[in-house]
Amino acid sequence: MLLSIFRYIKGYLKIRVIGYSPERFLNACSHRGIYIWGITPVRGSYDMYITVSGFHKLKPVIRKTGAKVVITERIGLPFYFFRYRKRKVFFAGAVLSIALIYSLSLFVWSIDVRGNRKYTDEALIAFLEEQGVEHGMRLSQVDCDRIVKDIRKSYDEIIWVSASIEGCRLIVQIKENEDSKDVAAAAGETKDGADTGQGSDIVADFDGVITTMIVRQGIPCAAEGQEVKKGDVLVTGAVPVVDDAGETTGYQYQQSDADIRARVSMDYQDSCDLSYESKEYLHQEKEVFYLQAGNRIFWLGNNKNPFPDAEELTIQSRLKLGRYFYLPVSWGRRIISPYRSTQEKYDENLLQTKLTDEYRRFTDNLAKKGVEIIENDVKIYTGSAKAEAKGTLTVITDIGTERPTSFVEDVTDGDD
Amino acid sequence: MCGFFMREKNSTSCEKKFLGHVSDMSGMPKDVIMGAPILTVMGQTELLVENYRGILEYTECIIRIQTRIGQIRISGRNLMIEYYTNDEMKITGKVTEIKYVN
Repeated sequence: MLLSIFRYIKGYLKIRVIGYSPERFLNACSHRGIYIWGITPVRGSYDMYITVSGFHKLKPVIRKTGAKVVITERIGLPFYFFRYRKRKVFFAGAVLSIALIYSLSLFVWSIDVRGNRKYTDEALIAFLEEQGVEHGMRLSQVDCDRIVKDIRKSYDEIIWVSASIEGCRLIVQIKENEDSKDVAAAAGETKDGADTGQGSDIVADFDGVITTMIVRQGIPCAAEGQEVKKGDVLVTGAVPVVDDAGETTGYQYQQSDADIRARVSMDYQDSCDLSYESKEYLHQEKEVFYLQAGNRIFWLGNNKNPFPDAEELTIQSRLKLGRYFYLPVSWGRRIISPYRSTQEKYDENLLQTKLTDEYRRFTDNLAKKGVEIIENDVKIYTGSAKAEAKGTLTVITDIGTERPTSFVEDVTDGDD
Repeated sequence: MCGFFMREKNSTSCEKKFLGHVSDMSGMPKDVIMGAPILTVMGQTELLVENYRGILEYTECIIRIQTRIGQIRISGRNLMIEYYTNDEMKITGKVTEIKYVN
């Protein structure tokens, strides 16, 4: 294979040897070191291939053997170029295409993100774009080490990153932390607290009466059955250090940790208009195709909407190279569906069903969050313009949000 | 005249015998000492010939090769010389018979 490629590049000839004893010709060629191959007998003569340089050495052989040599075919690049020597534009095109392929191969045409589950490809590519790594940039400007460091720095959940270039493609392989987020977050908080030396309190995030309270870390500042207001400290992270005399000598700051539940009243309100707009579609759809290049849109037909009431739907596709390299060329179609609009009124039963369904969806969502509903007095009121469902829910829910502990003035300062 | 040729033929066979003995005693290969041809046959479709003097006849059915120990006649179908140099030649096609003609 390789040999035939070399032969093609150098050029060779197919010759026919005719004469009294062509075998003598073959022996003379081999004796003079002229390389011949593909010798086939054809009706008293021989067809064979010979190199161009070998052919130039044939003259004495022909004279000695009395054979007649005819060139039947010229094969190879030198003959090809000679045959098409007048087609300058063709050769210019070939050279230009090679130059184009070379120059285009100097850029990143595709960014491939692998191994991601939580973070989407789009999010990571957008992040890389912010860092200056984008489609169409020069391959020589891509700093894989920098990419790895930037991703590791910005995403805590990504525990391993590798960036490499394969052809014109930048491959970013990542490995995400598959452990529970809560565990990781808790570990992170503890570490942060330990580093800074600052603790955290748990404060009430709404008004209520505490029903249960389990404190694992910190000093409780409220008790079960106590009514608390929004902003009240429930558990403090400032733990007093007491000496033998029972006096507070200082404070240790800890990350407060507690499960606190409280009975809380919450308002519920939902409304629905008595009348609604009914659409009767006329089945006279109008479809217009278009082509968009940059900000310019070329409509292939009349783009005007002749209908007073109509819905418009535009379906657009964008030209892209690979999976994510979008070019500023789009095409699509705009579909205009006219309708006749009339005002209709809801039936009272239907209104009730609608508001009840909405309320049920709300309570289901609360239940999913672990909220227990113990009382509700939500009622539906129908007015002239709209119907309302409103009332108060009494629920038992988790209470408390974290806040950094404010430093307590050191009691020993006054003594000094 | 006839006696002269007879004497020359006898001396050639003596020389061959002598070279054969030398090769046997010294342990050197016969293709180097005597110029014996080397035929490497791969299956029935490829034949590599080394140490030959020239081609005497070449058709699609028969190839006769002159060597130092005599002629070799290769019979077959669709025989073709793939390449032909001073050192070796490669024959392809369906080889049915290889015959030494002394």
